[in-house]
Amino acid sequence: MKSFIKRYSGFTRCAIQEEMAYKKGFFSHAVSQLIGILLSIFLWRILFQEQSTIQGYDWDQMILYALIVAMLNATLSFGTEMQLSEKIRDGSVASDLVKPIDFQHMSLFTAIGQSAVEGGLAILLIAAVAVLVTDLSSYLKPLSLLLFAVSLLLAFLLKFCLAYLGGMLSFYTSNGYGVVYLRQVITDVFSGAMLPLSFYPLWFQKLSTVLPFQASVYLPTQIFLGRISGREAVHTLLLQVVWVVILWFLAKILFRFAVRKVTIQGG
Amino acid sequence: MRSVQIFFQMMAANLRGLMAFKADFLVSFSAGLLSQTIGLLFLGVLFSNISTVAGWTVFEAAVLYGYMFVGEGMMTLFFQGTNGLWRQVRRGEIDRYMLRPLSLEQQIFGRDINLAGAGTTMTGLAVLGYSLSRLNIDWSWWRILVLLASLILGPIIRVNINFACSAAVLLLDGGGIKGIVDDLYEMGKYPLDIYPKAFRMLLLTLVPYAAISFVPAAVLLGKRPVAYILFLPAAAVLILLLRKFVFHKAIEHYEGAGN
Repeated sequence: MKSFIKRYSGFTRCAIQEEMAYKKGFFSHAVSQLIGILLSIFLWRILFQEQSTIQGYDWDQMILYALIVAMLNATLSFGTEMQLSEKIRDGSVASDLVKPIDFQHMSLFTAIGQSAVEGGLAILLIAAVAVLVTDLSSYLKPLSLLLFAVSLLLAFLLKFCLAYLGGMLSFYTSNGYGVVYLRQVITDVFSGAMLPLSFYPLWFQKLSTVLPFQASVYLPTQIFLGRISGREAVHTLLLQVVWVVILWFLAKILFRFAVRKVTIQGG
Repeated sequence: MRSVQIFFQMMAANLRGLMAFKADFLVSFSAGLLSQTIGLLFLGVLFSNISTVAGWTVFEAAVLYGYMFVGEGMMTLFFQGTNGLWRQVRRGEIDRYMLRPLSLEQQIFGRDINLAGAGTTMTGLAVLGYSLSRLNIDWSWWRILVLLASLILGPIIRVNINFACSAAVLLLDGGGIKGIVDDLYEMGKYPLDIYPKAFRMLLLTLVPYAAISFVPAAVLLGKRPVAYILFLPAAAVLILLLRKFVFHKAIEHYEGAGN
């Protein structure tokens, strides 16, 4: 275990250094995020002028929901998945494949490094916005914050598995961007990142409970907002664990098949 | 006229290049179609829980989406070259462009084709057509004129916003201005009334996404007086001049791809 961590933590360090190298990128990343957050604040502000609750969400809950989604989206961004896709497309995956390391483990530890920087920044920004526009006090209970933290961690692992599986599709098509974008959009719908799942028709809600996506966004938000608590919260965390394990091993199996399809463009 | 002909010849060459990867051809097209349709889902689901956004009903808001899709789609389809300007510089392609007997702008415009844009444009036109047909609009001659003008000027504005940003990235040697302006794009999909004054000004002048969608939609739907349509050509001229200026500066600043 120790040697495993030692072997792969190098990738995390490397990813952190790489992220830190582009200081200009930091600033524009923050502004980009702020624009997205502002748009949802403007939109909900108008809507809450006409009604005090929408589908059981009041202003504070709705904005906190949107902020947690923004935080999760920032933590494992589009970039991570595109990078994997690019690696497959330009053929640099070949040099990783001959190294005495596991490609999936390597990708995870790289993603952890990238997310530590991007996510760290996002959390600060989003916490600041939350304090400014909502009344947080009733949501800051130690136990539910602890559950939320664990849930976020599991959500991160799940997001990694989904992104990794999505990136793997690039073995089959040379249009990485289109596929990655499409996968992201579909995930946004089913995970609750676009709108809370309770906004959708009943059949859709039922469908989304049997899919893994909701465990990557919707469930953590519900724990934070106190809509899932106590024993039910523990069950929710277990469900997240189950999905992480299933997708992790599914990715391992599929990779073995996919890798045989490597055709590098122009080669 | 000749330049239009050359543009289409370049596009045909790009298309032949794409056809080498037939599966991708389909993947791109359907990815464009599907991802925009899913974007519309947001609108549908939101409006199943509320009745209006700042006084706009679901079909009225969908007109804004339609306009934005058409602009985005046309840009992605025919003017993808304005997107990857930075990459073209790094690969030294600009050096080559400079030696050819054709204007730089034209070569950049004709650089690439992306069929995802065809899917997006078609979705946009379908959404626009269907929503307008559900809104009981009295199609007098000036309304038809507004619709036609907006469908031509909208994509022109979209392309020039993008081109200006790409050129600004060259001028500033990197920087995230392009990403930031790309993010503002989403703001074109909602009625201008929901934004604070500073944002309204920005979206009508320097980054005129609202001129693509909100201005023509508000006039067609009678939410603003007819004279309000003047923002559309004004924004188009402004962004065109701005783009020319920034691009000119960027090329002056350009020192070649080598070190």
